[in-house]
Amino acid sequence: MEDSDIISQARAGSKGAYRELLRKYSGLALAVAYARTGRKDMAQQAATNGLVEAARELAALPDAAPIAPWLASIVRSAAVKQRGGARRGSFTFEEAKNKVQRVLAESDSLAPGMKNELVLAAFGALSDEAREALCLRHLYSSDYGNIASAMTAEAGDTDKLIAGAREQLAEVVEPLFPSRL
Amino acid sequence: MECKECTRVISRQIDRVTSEQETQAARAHARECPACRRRFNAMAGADRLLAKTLLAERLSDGFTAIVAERLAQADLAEISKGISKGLIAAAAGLGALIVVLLTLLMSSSEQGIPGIGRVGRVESGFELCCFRSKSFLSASMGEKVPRGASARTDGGGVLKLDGGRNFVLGQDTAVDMSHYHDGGKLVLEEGRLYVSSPDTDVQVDTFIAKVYGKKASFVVEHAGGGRTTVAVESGEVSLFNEAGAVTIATGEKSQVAEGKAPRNPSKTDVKKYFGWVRRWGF
Repeated sequence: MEDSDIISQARAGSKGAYRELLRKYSGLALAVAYARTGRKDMAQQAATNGLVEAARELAALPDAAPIAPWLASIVRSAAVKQRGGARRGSFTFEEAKNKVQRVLAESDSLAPGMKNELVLAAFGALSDEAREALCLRHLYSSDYGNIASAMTAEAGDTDKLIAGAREQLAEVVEPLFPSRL
Repeated sequence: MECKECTRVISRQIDRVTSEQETQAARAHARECPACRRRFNAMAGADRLLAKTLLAERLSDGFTAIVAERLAQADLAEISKGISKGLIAAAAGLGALIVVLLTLLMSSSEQGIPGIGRVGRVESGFELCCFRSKSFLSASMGEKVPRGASARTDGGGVLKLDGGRNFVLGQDTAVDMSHYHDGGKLVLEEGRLYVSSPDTDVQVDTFIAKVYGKKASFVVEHAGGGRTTVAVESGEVSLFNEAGAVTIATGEKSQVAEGKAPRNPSKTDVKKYFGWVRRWGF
């Protein structure tokens, strides 16, 4: 269903419109919220708050308005509010790098889950926008155009942002993934 | 190809959106560039782990079920506020919205939500799980449940009262709810009862519960006198009791959660919950 159909049906009181909103955009809400909070509990709360607010205001949107950037904006605000004064990331890039090197120096084999923990530490050190792009990529859509729409960006910019985010992650965790080539 | 361009192609390759020409050019570059080979491994490896983690974040704890619950609670609060201000018309409108949201969220879907701890998919009748007692009860529509407390329906379904705190209703059933202590109508002692249906918005100031129902009707008798007949035409029947926990969904394709209480963003203390049933998907 197109966004304009969702909006017009919501305006007409159709429950299918709300169903479609949640089916189509709950991943977006969770992605944006997780990128901004970095914590599952906060992300779920913020995404929920954003979806509730969006559901209430959906019928007031103009027919031609794209839902993704509008909803993303609502969820971002909800996430910032949810996060409050809590620090999102635990590590800077340097700290994340040092942690990787320290862990590898201390043990020949990584404890279960440690590699994942280190990747998440590096992920937390990314910029808000970079984290959001990656979260949207994995939780919302594989289409760069959709991601760009949610981020109010050009698809080409999203391409660069995702590549840059991955490169930064790789820089930190490269020792964890030795090349076999 | 430069390293910078190769990095971008690597990223696009991870997302499987490169052309054959781009892929070949990046491979040719990587053959000559150890740094890009290492980068490719690290980018792909980190992305795999990240995807796995993010997807787990998404699926764990039944995010959509949480959204449904939060929507319901938020909107019920709005109804309460609206009615208290005498905004009956506004509350009725909001009530209709609630029903719309609840209905869409709780209606059946072929898509399940992994991670919520589903133990059964009920194709007919219902299933109830009680986590503290580790007991499970399932029954078909119309089947009588042995009297742990009492069971009574006016037709088509089953009402189970377990320790005075669990209520199970068959879908599409007219039910006379009885509290086992009193052996009569359900006595509401404190709190509030909210009811929303397409035609009904009811707030009762002497109870504990919120009720969503699908073609169910209730006769509620208040400790302070008076009785309320509640007709609910769509959605789900849910009761929340401060003394214990009562949340029952009924009917076809219900989803049963186990193991731990659902994450509940409301004021409700989820530690008091010991059993609940979820609809299957939304």
